[in-house]
Amino acid sequence: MQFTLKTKSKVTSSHHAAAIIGAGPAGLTAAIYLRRSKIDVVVFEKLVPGGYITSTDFIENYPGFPDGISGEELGELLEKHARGFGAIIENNEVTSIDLNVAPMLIKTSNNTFTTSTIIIATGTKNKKLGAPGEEELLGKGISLCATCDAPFFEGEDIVVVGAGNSGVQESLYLSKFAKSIKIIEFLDHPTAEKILLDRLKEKENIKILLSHKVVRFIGKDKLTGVEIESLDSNEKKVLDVKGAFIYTGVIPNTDFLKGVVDMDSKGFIKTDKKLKTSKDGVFAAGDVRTTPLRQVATAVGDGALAAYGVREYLEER
Amino acid sequence: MKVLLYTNSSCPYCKKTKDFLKKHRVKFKEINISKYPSAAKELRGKTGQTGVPVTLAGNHKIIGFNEEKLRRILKIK
Repeated sequence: MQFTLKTKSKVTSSHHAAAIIGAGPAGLTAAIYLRRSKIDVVVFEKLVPGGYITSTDFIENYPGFPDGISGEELGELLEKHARGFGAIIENNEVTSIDLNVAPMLIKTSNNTFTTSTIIIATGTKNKKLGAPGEEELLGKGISLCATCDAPFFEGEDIVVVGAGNSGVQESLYLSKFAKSIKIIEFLDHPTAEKILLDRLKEKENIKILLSHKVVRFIGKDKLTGVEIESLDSNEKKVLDVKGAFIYTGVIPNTDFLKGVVDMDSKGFIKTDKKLKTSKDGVFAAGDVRTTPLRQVATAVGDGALAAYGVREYLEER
Repeated sequence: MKVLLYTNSSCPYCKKTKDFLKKHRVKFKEINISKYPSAAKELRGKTGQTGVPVTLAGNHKIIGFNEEKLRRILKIK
């Protein structure tokens, strides 16, 4: 389940050479690199350090962990690592930034900070489908987080929407709980990694329905079914299910940055090779920027590169 | 007021709610649905919710992490 945060904070306003917005793998890696250069840095995190990965069941493609690691554990290790080098992590949501003044201003729920440089590493969140019934039934059968809500669907028939890496990985996790899972995929092929698809074949309680779209979610106070439509035959049918998990892609957490830095048509931040944004002294790292691949490994690389950019920028001044 | 907090280990909003209650020294009983799967069914039956965190405080139900509502109901300044 995902929620809008309404927070109050008691952080005291102050100046920092660098500010990082977002404590996921990109932000915390940047913090580690900046602290090792003895650069004063504050990291803002609206939720919990670790970011999006903390609600990921299992990560097995991040080098150095041959047996895999839970997202929650990796998040805690990254936080410990960054704090170990002296990074300050503030549990505080950034609501706006002003880059047209020097030093730049960062506003949180109830404070204002100044900084010479900023790394935006706010990541992404799961995209909703926009189908009728979705908003009303969110938390009442519809979920965006398998690792959070799976136990509610013990022994039930459910659907997962999306056959990309997240949809298939989380279906494998959900198969430990649900009686049956149908994965609804809009495309005529799944886009998940081959290794995940091979594992899927071994699960008798998971089936993929390709070239199908969700028409609507059915139910008054609780989900009772999902209407789907075949894109080949236009035939519609209702699946009687008690649960639906949606993994149809992500959207960037950039609402507070509209009109502040250049973004692409989907709201991801545009950067150059050194991860500079359209504004001087402002960098973007990780899933929030325009990039062909969004993984922990790429986010970590981005964090290191953005920190290097910040160091270079501060040294030139 | 008796406070029950339903959580799951890998849920970031659950951690946020737990940290908030601890910080404000609110006494609560945590029920982790990954450790006690029957609690998920119980919660669903009681509230219709299929997601955590859910805080039950007296007759009040607080869905998700909602600081404003937690403060109001638990009388936290």
